[in-house]
Amino acid sequence: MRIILNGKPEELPANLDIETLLVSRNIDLSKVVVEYNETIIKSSSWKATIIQEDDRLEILSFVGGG
Amino acid sequence: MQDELIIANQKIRSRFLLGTGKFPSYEIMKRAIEASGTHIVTVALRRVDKGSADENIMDFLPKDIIIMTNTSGARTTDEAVRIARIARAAGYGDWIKIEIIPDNKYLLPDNAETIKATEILAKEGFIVMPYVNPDLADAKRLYDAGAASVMPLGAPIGSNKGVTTRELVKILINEVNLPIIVDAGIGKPSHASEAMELGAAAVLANTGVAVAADPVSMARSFAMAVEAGRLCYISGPGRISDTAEASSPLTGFLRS
Repeated sequence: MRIILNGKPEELPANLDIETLLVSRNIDLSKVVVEYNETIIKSSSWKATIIQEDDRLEILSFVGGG
Repeated sequence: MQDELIIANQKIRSRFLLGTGKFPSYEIMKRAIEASGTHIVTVALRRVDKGSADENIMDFLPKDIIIMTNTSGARTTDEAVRIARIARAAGYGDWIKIEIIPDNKYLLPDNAETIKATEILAKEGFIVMPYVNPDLADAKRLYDAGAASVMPLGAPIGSNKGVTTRELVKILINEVNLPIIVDAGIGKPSHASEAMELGAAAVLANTGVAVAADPVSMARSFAMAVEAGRLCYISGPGRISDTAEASSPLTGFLRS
């Protein structure tokens, strides 16, 4: 299954939810904001959100900046 | 003396705004924020591709300050608007610094795109703080678009060159009915003071503080300079003259 992850095409297994994807990449769940098809998904919904073909996912984090 | 900075109907405790990039660590950033007495700090949003040991910046920001998300990384209106909406949806409030930069060499902002983004976001209730080239017509367009301030650059970002745009910034201060906040290029406390002496409402610095050998004491130095410059401005400095004007009486009693 192909999706667009952080602006780049990526192959992912089917039936993958957002939380499992984040954990598989060692991403600290408390630190990120997830935008799913241009809508922010609350962390409480990550487990229940199954990623579909052609979805666009952005995993973002607040960092220092001017 | 009553001398309050009001932005979007909110009383802002300090005329020194601090960016949070480039600090050696978040712990040092936190201490610099405390030393600066700032009321508004900027943060940025970045993509995360894999886990890292980085700490969460939010754990290091005092609770009683305004966190203003910078749209840095945006090259167009649409990208800036999207970043602003993400920041709000993620719970980081309504304060947005619009920074739209299509140019990587000088990091100069795109005023036309910035005006468009300001109009869209102000209508959505954001408190919009646009970072722009100092241009009078554009500053008036930003006012019309609902900006909460205008933030002209002093010099290119991170250049530490000071208020090289001083004459243009002065025009904005005189002609635009919004707080004018000099942002970018402010590398030393003397630059910050200069901007304030011109009549700027506030100064935003980052690199000048963050890359100092001691960012914490430098933050304090900047804050003092901003205050000194402001006090100078409201005290009404004397005029500049090409010839001397004696400050002591010259009545000659040694010579007749």
